[in-house]
Amino acid sequence: MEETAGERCEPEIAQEKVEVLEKKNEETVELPSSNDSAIDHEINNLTDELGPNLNLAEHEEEIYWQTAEWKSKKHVFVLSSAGKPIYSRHGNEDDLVALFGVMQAIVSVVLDSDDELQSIHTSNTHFTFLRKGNIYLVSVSSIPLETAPITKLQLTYVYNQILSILTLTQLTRIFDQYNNFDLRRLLSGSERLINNLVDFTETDPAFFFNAVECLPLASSARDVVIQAITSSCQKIKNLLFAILLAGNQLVVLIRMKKYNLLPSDLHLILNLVSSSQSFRTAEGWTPICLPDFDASGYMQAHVSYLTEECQTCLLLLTIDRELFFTLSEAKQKIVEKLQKSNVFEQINESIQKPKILASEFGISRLRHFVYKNKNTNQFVYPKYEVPYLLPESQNSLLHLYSQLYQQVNSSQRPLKVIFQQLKTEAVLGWDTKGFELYLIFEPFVTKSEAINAVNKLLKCMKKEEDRLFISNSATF
Amino acid sequence: MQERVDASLNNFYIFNPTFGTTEGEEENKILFFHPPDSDTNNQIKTVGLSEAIIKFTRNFVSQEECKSVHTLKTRQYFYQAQPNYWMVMTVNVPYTKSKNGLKETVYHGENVQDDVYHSILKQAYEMYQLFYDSFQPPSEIQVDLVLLKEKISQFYSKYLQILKISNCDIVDVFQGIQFLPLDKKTYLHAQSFMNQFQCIFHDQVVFSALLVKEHLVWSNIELTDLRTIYRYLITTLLSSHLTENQNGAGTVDNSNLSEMKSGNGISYLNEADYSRFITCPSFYSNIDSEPVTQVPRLILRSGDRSIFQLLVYKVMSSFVCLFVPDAYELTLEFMRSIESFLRSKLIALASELSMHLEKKRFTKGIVSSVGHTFSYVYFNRLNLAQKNTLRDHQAHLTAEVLSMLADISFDSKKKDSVGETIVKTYDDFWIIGQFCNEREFYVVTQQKNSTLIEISDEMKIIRDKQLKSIYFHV
Repeated sequence: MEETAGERCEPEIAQEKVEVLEKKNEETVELPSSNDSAIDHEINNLTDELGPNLNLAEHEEEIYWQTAEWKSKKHVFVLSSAGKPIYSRHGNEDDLVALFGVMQAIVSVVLDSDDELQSIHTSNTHFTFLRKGNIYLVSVSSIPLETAPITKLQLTYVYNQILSILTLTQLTRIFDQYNNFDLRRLLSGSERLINNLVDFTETDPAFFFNAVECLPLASSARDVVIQAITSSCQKIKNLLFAILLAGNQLVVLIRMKKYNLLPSDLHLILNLVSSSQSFRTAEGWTPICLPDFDASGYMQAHVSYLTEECQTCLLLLTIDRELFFTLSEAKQKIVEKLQKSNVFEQINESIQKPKILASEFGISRLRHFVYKNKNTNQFVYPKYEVPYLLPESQNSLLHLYSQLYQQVNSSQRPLKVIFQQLKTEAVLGWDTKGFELYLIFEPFVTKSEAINAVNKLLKCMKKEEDRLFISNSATF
Repeated sequence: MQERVDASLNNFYIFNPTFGTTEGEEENKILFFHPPDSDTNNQIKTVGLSEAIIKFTRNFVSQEECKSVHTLKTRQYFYQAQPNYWMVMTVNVPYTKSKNGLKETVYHGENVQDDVYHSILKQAYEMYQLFYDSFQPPSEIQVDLVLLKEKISQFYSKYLQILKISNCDIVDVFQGIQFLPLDKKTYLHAQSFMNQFQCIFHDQVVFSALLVKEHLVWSNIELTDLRTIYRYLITTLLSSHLTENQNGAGTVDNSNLSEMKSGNGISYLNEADYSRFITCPSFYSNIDSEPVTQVPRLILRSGDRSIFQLLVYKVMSSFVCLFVPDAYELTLEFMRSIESFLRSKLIALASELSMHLEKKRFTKGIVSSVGHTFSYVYFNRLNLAQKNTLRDHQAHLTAEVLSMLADISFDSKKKDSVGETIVKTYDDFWIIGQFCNEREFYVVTQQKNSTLIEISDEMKIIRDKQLKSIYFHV
């Protein structure tokens, strides 16, 4: 069973879907023109091309991409190698055709010289480019601490979201056949997923830290949940993962032996669940591709909330398209078993209980911290307290963390320790075997106070480890 | 086997998009292109892409200037020196390739840091300004393109030959000036000598400077000019004189001496009397065997952007630099009067200064009380003073560590007032950066088993010792 898993993922449904679309498109799809000459033409006229468009703005004041509002925003664009718009975070893609054309031309010109455009920098703005096969992604950000590695990762996430909807196999096939294909036909209705994901990458520390948060729960209660799921699913073949979520927090993750999920894929699952309200009212059966697990094919996800009283979402991921009723039955069994115990109460209690606070550890001058378990990619992110109660200050703290994480985990110049005294805070980052720790202090903390804080916090984390993290990785 | 190839210059060009706006005349936009052997079509294409990129960014930012473009294999830097005059420098990033071609080539773009190379591009224009003031003077409405191209090409084809592209680091950004620390007596001696000189020649010499080797002792040139002039002196005009006499600052190279004695020029009393003009009008070169440089004509901003003739006189390892207004004719009589003054007064001072330099040489290499070796660099933006032991041979700093220094420096500029940054790298280098009142101080040391607190304490001792009289509160 396990050996065939990879092949079985081949998306037959998807294939049908494309064929139908291909038929529909036959008349409208333009035949791919000789691309080289098209690009050459565009290079020659690149600057001329921009000229008229800029002039246009003088005549029509309403052009959105010439306004101050447009310029103040952070942008994400996706286009095809032929310059067809696929996605724009702001504005309507059809109004931006000229801009997409310029982006395509610039990327292609660099590509022509056997090189790859990565980024453009002005004094305060970064333009990041990512080329994935026939998909080009571009972001424009003026957020000072949002450096190139972060924006590049954001674009990778957007690309992964597209793969998650289409699979790499399908995407490649489409563009192999129709270089000029308008991918929006296949993605219509999915813009919300991409929008939500981009928001997630900007606001959720889970993205920056490449980790997931767990719902704090006594390990005995977690064991009950695991037991209920594994015993109900024991006889089901081809079931790869069972995931229980409370909001964006992980309650349990059970996996088939040999297989594992990376945080990046889990984030896509979180995004799917948080973007769709329909799962709350009815169980869903949806194809999903998890690119870091297997970009080539779909899995089927059975998605449902456990009960009215306990708003936790259960996902059962399989490679078998025929399993809906089996999984639906299994879910009922799981609910029945859990209802007999008092686990729902415990889970609800934990959901309602305020998140962990940095101040509860009684460490002087400590304002906030992040503890990341490197083996399981799980992290603790305490609730914001004074002075991080305003959205702006929370935002700058997030960016400070993301930058700190990038510095410590830099691909070229990684760090073991970083201590930095800033105007409004002092920060300490420490990367060691097993975990990473980031602490935010009042600005004038002494180094010995900071070191003492580290020691004290580590003790507390050790003590709470079973409750805060899912340590034993459960398998079917 | 892996082979690492250093960063190198790919191209360097200057263009103005307003020249040659009609199709077919694109070539006119290009004022300079290096390498010169690149064909016109390629030049037009390259410039066209830069132009497109600049225009593209303006769709999102109206006020900000395009500064750099990163590709896998290159880093490209943009600098708009004057409205519509764009300078672009493309650097090939260092890479490693396996000699048998089995492994993929790996490009190390991270080792070419934007802020470092962008300031190197800016410096290229500042040096041009020292000789030609600007590409287009504000008063000039119609540009003589032929003349402009000629000036630019004359300057940059030489400049690019001495431009160092590989392994640039934070010190290249500071572009600081090394002062020679002197005791009070010597300093007063130097000052009184220069004052006396200024008093006598105040009509002819507006600015002057005194250097010992690459160390500045005294100058009345304003800081805006001093930085570029200092760099010009060290990297170009005096460079050949700085490398000779490597064995000792005070002794004269024997080969030069024998030539001098056999020469027909003025006879010398002893070795210490070895003194002469390095730049002077050709009619005054009195020693046939010593080639004399033409008098450079420089434009000083603090001197109302007017032209000055630079005379440099050398005694032992000391150099006196004199800036004479262009209008003043360098007559034989004037040259003689300067030489006779300098010869009579400078020798005693020059040997005193040489002794100080010797002393300084012996105190290099900093070892803390616990026996750990430290390197450091200090830079004060207010007076451009720089102290630097990073490039000493015993420092053994890796490219990664030097890049890390620049990371820390630029990070401190990005974030709001950083007081101090301490990091430990994976190969156990501790790097400490402190920032206070426009001053920056960095210490590097390799220690595996020290703690953050120990490092911080040791650093304090080093700082107090090396920067004795400098107020630095962190």
